[in-house]
Formats: sequence, C-alpha cells, structure tokens
Amino acid sequence: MEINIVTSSPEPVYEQIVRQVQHGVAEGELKPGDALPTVRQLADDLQINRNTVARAYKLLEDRGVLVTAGRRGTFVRNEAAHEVHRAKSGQAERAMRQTVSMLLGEGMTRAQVAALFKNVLAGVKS
Amino acid sequence: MSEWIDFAVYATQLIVCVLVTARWAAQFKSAVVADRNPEWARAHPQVLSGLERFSGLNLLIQAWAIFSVLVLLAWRLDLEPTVLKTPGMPGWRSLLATAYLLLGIGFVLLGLGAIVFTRWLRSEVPLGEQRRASLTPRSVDGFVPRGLKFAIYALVAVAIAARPIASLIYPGRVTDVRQGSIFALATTFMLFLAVGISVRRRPNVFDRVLGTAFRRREVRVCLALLAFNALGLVTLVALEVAGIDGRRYSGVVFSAFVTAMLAALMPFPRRNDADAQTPAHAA
Repeated sequence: MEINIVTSSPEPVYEQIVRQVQHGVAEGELKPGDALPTVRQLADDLQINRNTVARAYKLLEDRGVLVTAGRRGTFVRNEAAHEVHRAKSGQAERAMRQTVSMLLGEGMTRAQVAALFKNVLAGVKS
Repeated sequence: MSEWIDFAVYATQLIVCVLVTARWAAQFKSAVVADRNPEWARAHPQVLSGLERFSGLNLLIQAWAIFSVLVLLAWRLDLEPTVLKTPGMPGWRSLLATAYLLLGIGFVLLGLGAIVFTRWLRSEVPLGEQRRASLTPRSVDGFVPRGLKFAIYALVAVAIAARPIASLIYPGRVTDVRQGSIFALATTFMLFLAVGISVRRRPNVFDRVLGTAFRRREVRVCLALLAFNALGLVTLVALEVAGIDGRRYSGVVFSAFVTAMLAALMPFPRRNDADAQTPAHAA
C-alpha cells in the first residue's frame, strides 16, 4: 500500500497519514500483524519531518490501530479494523448529533428532522 | 601472468567506474528533476532540454578517464617520468597504486559533479507538493533469503578472525596482523555501510525509471561485494600460509569483480522510460 500526501492541502500531513492508514485497514489492504515502515523510513521517503510521522503513528496507536513493539517495529493491531470502524462510527455519530442539535435549535420538530434524514438517505446512492 | 592483464583489468575498471558512470548518470538529469517536481519540470521544458547536454564538468570527468588510461599505459610501457619511478617496486604494484590513485581522483570528480547538480536542483527546483511512499518496511531480508544473509555474515566473521587466528597458528608465515586486520575491518565496515544505505536510502529516480528491481539488484550487488571481499581476505591468508604472495592476484580479481558488479547496476533504460514523467517517489 502507498501513502500519498499533498503538502499544500489544508488537511495537516499527519492527519492525511492517519486517514490513509485507517482507510487501508478498513479496506483490508493492511492486515492485522502487518509491519509498517519505521518513522525514519516513512519520513525520509515522504521528505517530511520525522515528528510529523511520529505524531501520526502515536495517534494511530492511541486509536488502537497500531501497536509498537519496541525495536521490532510498528504493527497493525489484531483489533485494528474494529477500532477503525468504531472510530468512524463515533465520528459520524458526533457529526449527526451536531446537525440534529442545530436543526432542532432552528425550530424543526423531531418528526421533521427524521423525515428530512429519511429523504436525504433515500436520495444518496450507496 | 602478464602485466598486460593487470593493465587491461585496471583500464576497464577506470573506463567503467568513471567514464561510463558519468555518461550513465548524465542521462537521468531531467528524470531527476521530474521526480522532484513534475509540475516544475512540465513548466520548464527549456531547462530540461539544456540538461540533456553534457555539462563541462561531465566532459572533464570523461576526459579524466581517458587520460587515466593513457597514464596507466605509460606506466605499463615504463614511460613514466623518472621522478615518479619507485626503484625496487614491482611493475604490477606500481600499476595497482597508479590505477587506484587515478580512480580515486575520478571518484572525487564524480562526487563533485553530483554535489554541483544536487546544489543546483535544491536551489532551483522546489520540492513537489505531492509525494508518495510505500507502507512496506524495507530490510535486507526483503531482498535476499535470510539463510543467504546469515551465511554471508558468517563468512565475514570468519574473514575478520582468519588473520589473527592464522598468525597464532603459523607465527612465522602470517605477518602484518595489525595492518591486515585494520584493512579487513575497514573494507568490511564500508561494505556493510553500502548494504545499509542501499536498503534505507530514499526511493529515487532510478527506482522510478528502472523499476522496483533496481533496489533489489543494488542490495544484492552490495552483499555480493561484501561476500567477495570476505572470501578474498580468507584466500589471501590461506595463500600466505602456503607461502604464496597473493596480493597481485587479489588486486586484479577484486578490481574485475567491482567492475562487473558496477556494470550490472547500470542497465541503460529505453528512451521513453527515461522521458516518462510520473508523480514523484515510487517505491
């Protein structure tokens, strides 16, 4: 699997790495137990600061996607796919809560919000 | 063995290591620019076409290689200036020392050429905004079978230990233990370093133009040199024990091997391969 970054993107580089690793795990491109390159290798290959890669790896560790086994390297955790799914669900739920709160705050009823979501869902192609 | 064989090997080494390397590296200049920043390369076609021509320094390096072969020929024909003659030194040794001095200067010139180009590249061509890298970790095990790697490391250990141990068993026959051990350690260290660098270095234009097999070949060549050097060190000790001075043969054989390995690393790409401009840094 390859990581593509755009340094001029408004999305910080470490978040681009986190997002793509999570995507790789969710899509099965990165399997449990797969080794990842060292911070040094990835930073050198992408020509970015090592702290940026270290930050991305730390975030992925905190989210339960990666595990660092000392000098042996960094690996994809066994429960990584589940953790990515959970993180994505949590993120989606937070975004939906925010939207629902905003709509209710603007005077819509719960039934109207539910109907709106139903319509939007029906209009979105999977 | 005729000293013309020594001359032929060292002359070929000079031609391959200096002249051919300079010509080979020059054809990748525009591809290096495209690799660093494809958008910049597309916007500056006139700069790229200028890079296709040989620079003054590159021509100087090529001229140095030809001059070196002529100097070596003069040494072989005993036409060297009297002030540079070393009385009592055998002809093969004089050829070896001269060849390596000329080769060393050739390498310095090649290094200078690389520094000049890299400085120009960094000052004139901004780094591309889009970059990519493989998420596959690189290690020696990824390029050679583990068993072969450990066999080479074992051979290296034997080669380093061979001289001190042989000097204890045959104190009269094996001499120069300190100097020989320092030489063995220094060459082994440099070749280990070369193996490490070939594995860890950032993917570059050669990987992109010549494909992923390039690094595999590079790592294998470095390991082959490491193994060959170790084998040479052991053989030298064995010849010393047998009372044969093997330094001449080892010099010739090692030079021939280095030349062959370097030539193996330099496949010439098809023209449309070198011209291809894809986003930077394929693994």
